[in-house]
Amino acid sequence: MDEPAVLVTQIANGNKQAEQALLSHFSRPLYSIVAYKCDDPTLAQDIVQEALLIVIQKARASAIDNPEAIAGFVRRVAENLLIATYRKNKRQRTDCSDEMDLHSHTINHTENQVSSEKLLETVTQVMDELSVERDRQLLSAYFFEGKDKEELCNELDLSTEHFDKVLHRAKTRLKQALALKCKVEINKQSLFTLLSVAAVICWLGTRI
Amino acid sequence: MNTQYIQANHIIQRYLHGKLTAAEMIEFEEYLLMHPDMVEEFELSAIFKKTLGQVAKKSRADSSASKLLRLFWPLGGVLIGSAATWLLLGYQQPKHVATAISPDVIYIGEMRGASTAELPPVGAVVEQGSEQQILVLDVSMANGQLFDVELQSSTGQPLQSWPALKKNAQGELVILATLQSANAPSTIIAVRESNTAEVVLSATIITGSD
Repeated sequence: MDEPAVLVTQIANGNKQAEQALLSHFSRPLYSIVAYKCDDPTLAQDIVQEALLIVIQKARASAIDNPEAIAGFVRRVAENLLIATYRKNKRQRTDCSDEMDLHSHTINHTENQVSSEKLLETVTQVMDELSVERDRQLLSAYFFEGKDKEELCNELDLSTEHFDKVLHRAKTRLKQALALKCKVEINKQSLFTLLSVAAVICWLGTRI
Repeated sequence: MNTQYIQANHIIQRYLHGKLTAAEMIEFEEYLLMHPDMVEEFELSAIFKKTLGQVAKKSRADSSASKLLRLFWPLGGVLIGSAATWLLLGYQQPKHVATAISPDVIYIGEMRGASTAELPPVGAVVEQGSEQQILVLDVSMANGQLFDVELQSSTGQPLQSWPALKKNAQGELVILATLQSANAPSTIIAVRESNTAEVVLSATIITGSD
């Protein structure tokens, strides 16, 4: 696949395949970043779709001054949309009267909760499989508490090689467990939701 | 910022815990956008961060609950009968935690035996209804690249073998097996380095319903 900067130039020349390629390139990483920031897969999906729509439209109009900095542009567009959404929601909390919007949001939240529970179950199982309590402590301290590797190695009296091994194995196990339990293939779709990149592209394809 | 820098400086972890400066955060996000191959690691780390807190909370809640239960005993004879009944009905021995992720994937690692003459420790329990299993054998600690894997009955009789298997990039041997075809309550998996015939891993796998 061509570099994103090249794709931007091709889009300006009317290349539709370049548009699809650009969407394919940015959809998943942008979704991961936005989903992590807002902790709402549905909102993240909306933001990503809107952001990429704006980017494509700008590219078509040759309005992206610096194609080499396209990643920065994509990031800023998504961030601004997220901020605008938060401001809008803040205002709506005080004077919201649209019951239809609330109802659809509630349904989406329930679906997300089911996914979160399954994730929790899967991670719990991965942790339970660790035969050494110290390895469980290591993972919890590193991923959840955010302790540094050096600090943990000193605290738990283990080598950096062992530390790397435990981390690597835990991630590998989680990948396998997700593939089997949650039917999520990590190389094909984001873990934050079961939304596939293809669905985003198809939706955008109908909008553009 | 490049992949090596990100890994060496635990940038993903620092990002997830808000320990990067604003400029570093922007740089990392733009790097991620330009390098979608890094997204997988980012997502796995984020999932662990998000869920491990809940896992820890759940463990603490279970521990507090069992301490509370023991307080009922000294409260008097009236409660002993109902408490005993409660314990019989409600208290459960921790289940044997097999190393199986699912009925299909069995991970066995760090279980070394100098020989398979004695029954090695139990490494996994095959769940009922599992027809085929993927055995993931961790031989990363062994120096060799090629390994001979053998499935044996509990009496040492060979049942199936996989000679000269090469370990993958993660130091694992991945084998598709049908463990329950042995019709035995347990089988032994033994892994030897092809060059030296040294046993690097051995474990018992419980395959029977008993």
